Amino acid sequence: MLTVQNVNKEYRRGETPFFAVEDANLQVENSDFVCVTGRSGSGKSTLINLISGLLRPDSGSISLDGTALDTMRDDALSHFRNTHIGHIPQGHSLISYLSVLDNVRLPYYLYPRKDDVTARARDLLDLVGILHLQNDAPRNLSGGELKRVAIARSLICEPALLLADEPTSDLDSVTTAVVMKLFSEIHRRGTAVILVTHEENLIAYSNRHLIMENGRIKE
Amino acid sequence: MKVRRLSTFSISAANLLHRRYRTLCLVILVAWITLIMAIGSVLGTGLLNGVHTTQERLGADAIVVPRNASRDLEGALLTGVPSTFYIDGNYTADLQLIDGVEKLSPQIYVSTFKSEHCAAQVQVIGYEPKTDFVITPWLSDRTTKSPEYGEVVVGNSVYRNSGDEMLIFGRNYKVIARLDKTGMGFDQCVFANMETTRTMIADYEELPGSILMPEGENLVSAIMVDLRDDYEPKDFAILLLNDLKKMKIVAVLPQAMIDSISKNLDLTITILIFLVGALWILSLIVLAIVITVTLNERKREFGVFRALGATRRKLLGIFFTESSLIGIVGAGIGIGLASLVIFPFNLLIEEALDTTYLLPDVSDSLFILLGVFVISAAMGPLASIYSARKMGREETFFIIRDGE
Repeated sequence: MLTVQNVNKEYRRGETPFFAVEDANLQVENSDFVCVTGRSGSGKSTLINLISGLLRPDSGSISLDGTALDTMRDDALSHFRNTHIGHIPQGHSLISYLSVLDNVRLPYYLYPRKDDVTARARDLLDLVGILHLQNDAPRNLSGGELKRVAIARSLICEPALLLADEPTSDLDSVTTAVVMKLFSEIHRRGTAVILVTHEENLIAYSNRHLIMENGRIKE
Repeated sequence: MKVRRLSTFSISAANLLHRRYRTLCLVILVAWITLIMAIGSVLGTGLLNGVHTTQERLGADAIVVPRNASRDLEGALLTGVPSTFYIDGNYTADLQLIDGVEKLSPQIYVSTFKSEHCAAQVQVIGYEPKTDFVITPWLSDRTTKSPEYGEVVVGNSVYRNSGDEMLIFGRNYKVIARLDKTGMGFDQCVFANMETTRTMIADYEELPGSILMPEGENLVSAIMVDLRDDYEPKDFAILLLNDLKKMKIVAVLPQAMIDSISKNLDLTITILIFLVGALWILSLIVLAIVITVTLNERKREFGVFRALGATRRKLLGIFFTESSLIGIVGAGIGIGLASLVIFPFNLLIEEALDTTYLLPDVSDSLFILLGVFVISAAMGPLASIYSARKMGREETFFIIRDGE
């Protein structure tokens, strides 16, 4: 389903170039729940951003469901990301001036569809257990609740692949367990998950474990 | 419960309302500059209108007055300061002999004062309809007939309508027309024929405590002179000063008077345009700085939009809609405030300016205000251009990093 082949991404720190991702190769299937661990600065987030198409690789190729992402124009790639990839960015990722419900409906605003987005957004909020907060502003929610809204939003377009960048970094252990169970449930329903974390104890929820070190992937 | 549809407008508006203090400050900034631009534009146009009208209405090449009365004449014509001065009307015959003088028409000025004998303090201009070539042409805008004995035509600022009576020195006169606004002294004047005006003077002299008028049957205040095209008004003025100096009269040249006003006005308006322009640019810079700083604060927000599939174009749409809303709302408030200042206080502005001033008519005013609105509303999008370019240039601009 997802194929990452010989991907390189180089940045510069002052005058010195360095590889954020170096010669990355990865094959992910629908049945995979991949946990990517590694130290801060090892290239985990860059890998996620390359897979989601937010960054372009300097070399190599990335394809999802047979579509090459690295050669697509920005408009097409953005549309593809919206319809095929659920992306949960690092930290607080809700739009502060929109209600919980509007945050979940947001991907549909970007590319309107005919189906009833409001009903679907409410179903997803119900799935993550916070339907009662649908009209609240994000500032009134706890860290765990915010993450659950972000998860609901990432699922609104029924993505084939869910990317989660440090989704439990600011959560306590009880809330982390609740959130991870949600990812397990999403995976059980047939969505491939790639979860980036520096917390080793989350590996237990996945069925594949990758380690990133100095931009290189080790399985 | 009905849920509103998400749109670029609703998202932009929600963000502006969410950051209401910042939004309010930016709207006030745009409203303030709009207010200044709108008032400046309307006042400037009013001053120019006043000069143009004055130019049209002073249809004489030269106005002959007593030697010490040229300033009084200027005050009477431009700002309506009542004044009274006299020369011997027989000079008309002497002036007619000058080669190059085509037409002559005497006028007589009488100042009234507000009392039990007079309805208002006005300047009465008595003229001879038979010889007049200055007042009759523009009097015909409102009345087809010249005032006859016992009748007067009033300027726009004299609050009498056609058919009313007006008390002057104890006698009532029938108002046959009220003139359109001119923005000059004529607005405070009452026009009558010579015979009527002489009756007013006679009535004045009957009043207790009145100052005796100079003796003479044929007194006039000014003689309007129309010169042949090839005769320079300046030469006529020099002739009066040199060859006819024993007559103690002087020629005031309306065109020179207007040129002088016009020159001063041009300078004033140039300075006004420069100051308003500088203020506009300064406001634009402040707006651009605030928007750029805000953009840096909003990188995470836009990063989230990108992660959800927003194209750069979509983000620019949201960004420009927000800045346009700030521009439009600010400009709208500024125009509203300017209208509240300009229209209700027009008369006070006129008095305060103490020069020829004619508020542009409603359609012209609306056109000016619309132009100012567009220029002000454009500040929002213009101030966003730098930030928008920044958004579009960097690949990693929208990448959400730890700690941001």
